[in-house]
Amino acid sequence: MYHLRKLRISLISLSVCSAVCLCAGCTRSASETTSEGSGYYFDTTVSIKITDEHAETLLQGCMDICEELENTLSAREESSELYQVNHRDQNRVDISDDLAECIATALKWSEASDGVYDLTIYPVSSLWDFHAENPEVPDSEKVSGALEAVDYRNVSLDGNTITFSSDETQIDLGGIAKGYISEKLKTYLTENGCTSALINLGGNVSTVGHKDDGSEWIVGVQKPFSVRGEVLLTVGSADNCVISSGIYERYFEQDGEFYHHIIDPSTGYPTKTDLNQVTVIGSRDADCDALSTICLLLGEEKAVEFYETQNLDVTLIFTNSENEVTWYPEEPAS
Amino acid sequence: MNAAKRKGLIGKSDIILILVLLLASLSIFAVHTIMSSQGSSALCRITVNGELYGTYELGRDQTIDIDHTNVCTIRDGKVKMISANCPDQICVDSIAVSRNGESIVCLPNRIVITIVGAGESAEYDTIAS
Amino acid sequence: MGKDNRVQAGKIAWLGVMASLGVLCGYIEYLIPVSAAFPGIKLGICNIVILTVLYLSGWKEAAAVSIVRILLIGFMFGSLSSILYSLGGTVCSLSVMAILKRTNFFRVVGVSAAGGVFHEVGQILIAALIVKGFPLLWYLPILMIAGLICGTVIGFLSGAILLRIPKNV
Repeated sequence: MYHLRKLRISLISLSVCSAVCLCAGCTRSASETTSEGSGYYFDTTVSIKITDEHAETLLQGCMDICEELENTLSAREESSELYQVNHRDQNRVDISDDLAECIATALKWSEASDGVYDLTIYPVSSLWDFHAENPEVPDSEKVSGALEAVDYRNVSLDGNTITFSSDETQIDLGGIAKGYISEKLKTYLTENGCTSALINLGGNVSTVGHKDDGSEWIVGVQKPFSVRGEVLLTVGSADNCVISSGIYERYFEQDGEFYHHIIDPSTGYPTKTDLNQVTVIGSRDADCDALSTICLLLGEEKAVEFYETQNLDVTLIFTNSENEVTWYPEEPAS
Repeated sequence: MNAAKRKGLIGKSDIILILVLLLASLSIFAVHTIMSSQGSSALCRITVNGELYGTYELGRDQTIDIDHTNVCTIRDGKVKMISANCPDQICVDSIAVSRNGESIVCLPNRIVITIVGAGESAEYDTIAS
Repeated sequence: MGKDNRVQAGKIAWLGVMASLGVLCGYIEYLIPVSAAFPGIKLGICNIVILTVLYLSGWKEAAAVSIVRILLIGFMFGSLSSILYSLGGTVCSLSVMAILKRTNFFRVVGVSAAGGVFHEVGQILIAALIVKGFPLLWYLPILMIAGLICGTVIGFLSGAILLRIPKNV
């Protein structure tokens, strides 16, 4: 009987000890977790990876921001604020902070590039539907008609009040909105104490801090006109964004002609460029997003000139039509 | 009554039962470890609309029908989308994936295939395009 | 007839008390967030109540109390999936416990330990149905051992309670 009792006591204490160890073991691992999530906004995939104590909450916060900004900045969603502005009754409209800030950035780059990039491209860009099952070249008269409405000088912004000097002027933030949103996400994460996150917003990559093992995030750059996922080169990034624009993203062929989705505001047709792709590495996502489009539109030589006149603090990677790579100003030492 | 009162809370047979259960747990663990070390423990995780659709071992060749919209195959440890009813067919034109962090996305059907648990990692964390 | 009714009423009252104790135990479990850190692992305090009912009334009564408890806790603190997981676990664990008890070969601790293990097995089966495939297989042994440990402790506790409750409540 005595032995049995001793056995019983030891069994009980053993069980209790194991249970306590088990609990102690788990609470420690719970403090910092990595959460990954994806959502669909702006016709693209948003995937975010966050390492933080409150990763789940932050992830949800990011998704909420995406949804909210989609409802603000999309020119194609009928419910969005920008749609309402484009289909306005009068030419003086009060707009939200986000829309004003995004338009201000777009206006800044339209002016800086002297209309090579033009935020008022919407009348033309809306004629080109690259998402259609069988995309078609729009009617040339329609294009030249719409082209007359494209001029960024018809837009002026004063605080949160936007004034159009033409009824036909319509804004497309396509070349800048994704960068604006990823910058917002980055700010949100940083302000909430997050020190490690990777954001991929439809191909626009933005990073917060380093990876959880302390090394830089490695971003692969898609090889133009190759299968999705084939990488041309990789770049390291910490607190930077890596944003590519390329003529390979969306395109179609008609009557032996090649039509891609980067529309030249001066012609209304896909730009004739000597580049397949421009990748911009920098700290301001919205600026980098605009710059990648501007450089693609300018071509390599003029893009370099533009870079020099603008005093830019970014690194450019040009990929020419042979997929040969040139860094400007220079490839950072790894 | 009572059974417990008469015989105590625990008997020889109970201790044997507990040991057998412990052994069973450990052997499942052992079998699983051996199995996964033979094949690879790499998995592909498929989500539809952000929700987990299923997780499949890369070690076993198979064809997976995803929501009756897309079909992918696992062959020799690589996942490839082979058909899709989406207009752009970008997912079908995507590279076959096998390394950690690689993924295939079908945007129109909102499908994401990602690789987890593979021994080899992709040389990048994500792709800018 | 009158006496029968009284017995019936007494039994309903007893099971009601047990069900509410079960819910209370569920609340205590909810306050100790073991599963937040270690998904799927629970202490199984509720099983004290279930074991008590199983030993004093029978498996049908234990099943009734379990289902009431799961639904109430599910609606108060959980979600549809947590109800499904609990149901799967309970069906599995209660069947095993009822069978083991019936053999008259095992005592409370053994029955409880087996119940703890099979609760986890049931949950994993549900998980396998929900997420399709067996991605969680590697996690099963960990859960089983946790269930074994918790089940054994719960068995001793329940036994101590059973010793102190007269059979003819």
